[in-house]
Amino acid sequence: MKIKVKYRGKEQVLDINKEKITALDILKSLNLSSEHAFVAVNGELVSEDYIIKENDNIKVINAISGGKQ
Amino acid sequence: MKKLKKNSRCTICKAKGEKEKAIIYLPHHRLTLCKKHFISWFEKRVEKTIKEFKMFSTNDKILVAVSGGKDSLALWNALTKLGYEADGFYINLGIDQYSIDSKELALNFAKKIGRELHILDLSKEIATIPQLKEISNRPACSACGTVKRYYMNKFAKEKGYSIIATGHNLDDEVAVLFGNTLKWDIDYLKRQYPVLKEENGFIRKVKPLCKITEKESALYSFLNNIDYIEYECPFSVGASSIEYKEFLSRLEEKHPGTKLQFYTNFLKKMYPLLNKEKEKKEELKYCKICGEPSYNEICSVCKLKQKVEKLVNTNYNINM
Repeated sequence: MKIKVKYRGKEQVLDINKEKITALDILKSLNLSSEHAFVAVNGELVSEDYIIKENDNIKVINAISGGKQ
Repeated sequence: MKKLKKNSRCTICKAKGEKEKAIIYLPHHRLTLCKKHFISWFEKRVEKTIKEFKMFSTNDKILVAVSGGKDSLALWNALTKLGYEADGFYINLGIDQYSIDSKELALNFAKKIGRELHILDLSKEIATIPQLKEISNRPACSACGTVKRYYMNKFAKEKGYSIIATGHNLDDEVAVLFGNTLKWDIDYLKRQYPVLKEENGFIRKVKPLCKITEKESALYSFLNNIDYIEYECPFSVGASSIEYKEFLSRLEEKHPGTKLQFYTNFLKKMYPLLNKEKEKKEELKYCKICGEPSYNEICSVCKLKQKVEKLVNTNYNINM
């Protein structure tokens, strides 16, 4: 399944080979730890087990300054 | 967020008999919080840190070093909400799009909270960071740190501010502490404290976010709708401090509280030992050109200025 995410001010398309994708899957796919990153869906913070729905507006925030691009 | 169980309730709401759903779990504090209580927890923690280290009071005029990033804007927001008189100071470093974007975000934020943002244009004072990197033959971050510290101190004095507050967070402090410990750099370890007292022409510098993690700062900015620059300065990519942060983050994941303990125990147990015997301090002079405090006859910024002038006079092409 392909999903669009906004990360570090840019749009990216992630291809995750799963039927149900969670917020944690998105972090893993970007090689980010929940220790320093989180996911917002439609402007709201979501827990790691949140299941992504079609048309969700997804934003990933990595708190480490200068971390993975 | 990490280990936040489905339908968890906010710890504070629960204690009050309310039923607000938690959105955040802070494993190192064993707290699950709703949006409202995370924001108030954050601000109380900043206030407690200010008081613990006797950083400043409401009588002080504070200048917040603003970069347009999450930490400096979160700090400025929290200080203003806590009732402190805090204005912003942004240095335009002239780093292409990064400086254009961060300046705009800093200006928008100042407007939003109704506080003054002072702007200093480095290209008018000396030269931009990319130019200084070329001229000085030093890494960009090193030249940048030197000029930022210099102009921040000089500007604060000229405008009558008694405090300079920076947005350094726990992860910043822990990464630096870790690096200095790996090298046993005693001189740097001796200076790693969240308050640098005012003396000999230096304004007092404080770090009120030193007990706030990078993620807590990002969450606070996100939950307060603070627009900050999400990409990093192009010169910071590959810095060793970032590797340390990622390494320590993996350690923290397995053992929550490690970073906070490493830092606070250093301040409690190691810092006093290191500073027990006062060594003869290197004599501080005053730069014979600008009059600012310096360890040499001419301070490092004036030396840089001389290099710039020399290159301009010899028509050296540095795109000035």
